[in-house]
Amino acid sequence: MPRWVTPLAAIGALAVLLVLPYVVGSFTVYLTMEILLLAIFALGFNLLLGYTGLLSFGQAGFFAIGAYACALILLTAPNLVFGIAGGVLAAGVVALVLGFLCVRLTEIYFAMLTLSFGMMIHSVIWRWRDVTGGDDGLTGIPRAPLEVLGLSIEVSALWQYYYFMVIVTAVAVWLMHRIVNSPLGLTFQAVRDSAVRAGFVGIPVRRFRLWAFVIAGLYSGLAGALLAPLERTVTPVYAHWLFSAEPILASLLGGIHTFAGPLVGAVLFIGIKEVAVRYTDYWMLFMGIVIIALVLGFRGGIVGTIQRWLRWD
Amino acid sequence: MGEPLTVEGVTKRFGDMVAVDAVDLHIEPGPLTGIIGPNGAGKTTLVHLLTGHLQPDAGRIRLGNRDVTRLEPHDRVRKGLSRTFQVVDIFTGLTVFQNVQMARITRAGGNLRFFRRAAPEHADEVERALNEVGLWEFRERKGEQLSHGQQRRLELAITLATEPELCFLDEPTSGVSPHERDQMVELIRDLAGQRHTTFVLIEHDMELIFDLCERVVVMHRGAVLADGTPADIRENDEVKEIYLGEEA
Repeated sequence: MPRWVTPLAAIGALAVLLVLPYVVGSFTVYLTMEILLLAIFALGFNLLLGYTGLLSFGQAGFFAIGAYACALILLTAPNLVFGIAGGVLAAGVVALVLGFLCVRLTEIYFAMLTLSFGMMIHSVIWRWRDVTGGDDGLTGIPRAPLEVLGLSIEVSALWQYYYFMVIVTAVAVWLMHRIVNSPLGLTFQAVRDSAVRAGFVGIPVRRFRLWAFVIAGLYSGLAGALLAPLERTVTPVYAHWLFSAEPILASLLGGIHTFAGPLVGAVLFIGIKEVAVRYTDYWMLFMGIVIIALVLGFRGGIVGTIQRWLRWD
Repeated sequence: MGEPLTVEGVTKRFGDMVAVDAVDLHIEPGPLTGIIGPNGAGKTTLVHLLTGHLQPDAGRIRLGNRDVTRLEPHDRVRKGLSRTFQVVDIFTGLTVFQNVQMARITRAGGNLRFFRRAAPEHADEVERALNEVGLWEFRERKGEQLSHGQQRRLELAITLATEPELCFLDEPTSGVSPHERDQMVELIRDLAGQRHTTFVLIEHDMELIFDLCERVVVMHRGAVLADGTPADIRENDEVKEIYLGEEA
């Protein structure tokens, strides 16, 4: 792949995001915010699947922990910095504890264990009514101002919060790009390609699987934390394993073996859903057909296929 | 140079089958050692046990004075023990360059660095290592795009990049063309001459073992049948019977 592609794509995407609210209506801005959330969520998920070779069905659990922790913080201490940081941190800590148990297994056993832990988080949220509001969830979450170093920045309007999300997403994407191109990222890919060989170059495989799991958990938590002030309400739906499918499908659509795959996949997923929902209640059926077509005809997802056409792989 | 590897009464069973039966073995640093034996003699299982790929049911393995019997592979690699596999095992999705670089980064303890670019790390060392095995020109290719013989040499380069004191090569010429086989033999001869690494070669190709090794260990039905110089082994009647006789 030529060197100019990545910076150009990054600058192009950022430029579009920055001018978007001046060009389109608030509904499209809202949809874009959904895309940004899913992009962060899928990017973290794909560090596990595409880069480390671990398929998790439980990422919604960490998303929900991020969302609930952020909501609870904002309801008591209305400062967005605390809310987001708290949500990310909470998800990271839970990912560390559950990941410690999950990385003992691989492949389908790992996937089943993440599914179980994800649903365990769902049950806890569902039952722990005093804290989580049970099936009613938490409501009235304020889009609290961003208070840093004595400055107080208002983000209560949708467009204000939109720009906040664009900045956070840009930083998250940039950081992930650094990670996957760093020695740590190379180590994840080595573990993915051959855990045995990785062990025999001296890599403690389980420990690095755990690191990948924690980073994925932090990104899920970040996406969840950003959701709470956007929707102003969080419900247990976000912890359900069906919601774990969204980053999986987005990554598959875009392509799991490219950095941009989950990002492009997030755009496609929200786009397809939005269009299909207008014509049919069975939009999942439509999504399923698209996925089957992709798997059969476009191995490596959209980004992977385009790269192959351009001989950039 | 490194420390001796001492194996005492190491045993491995798979169900009723005793794959490795109370093997005692002492490997001194220095001489190139070959382990031969017919198929199913337990050669590969023994190497699996010595390198930590499998856990023995009984016995002890010591490197110098340290007991390494229960250590995981990555810990043994740090103590200077590494290996190649009978079925080639490389990082297929990484480039040839990255394959060797991964070993260098790990050796230097740099795996956790997440904020710097990996690309320039240890570039000189990787270049030297790839030149040594004749793969520098293929550095941009992915591991999976190499020929089988090239993959074998890459695996050797990865293994050597961990700077082992003791290195097991499990059938390094299996499945490669005759030309590549000769290349590999020369390469092993050169490496054994230059390096501070003791190589242990596992083979069923006896000609190759007799050609390269200073010491030959013969395994049969999970046990060590004979142990000596190539000349001793050639003259050993038991060996002739079970092994040489079979091929003649």
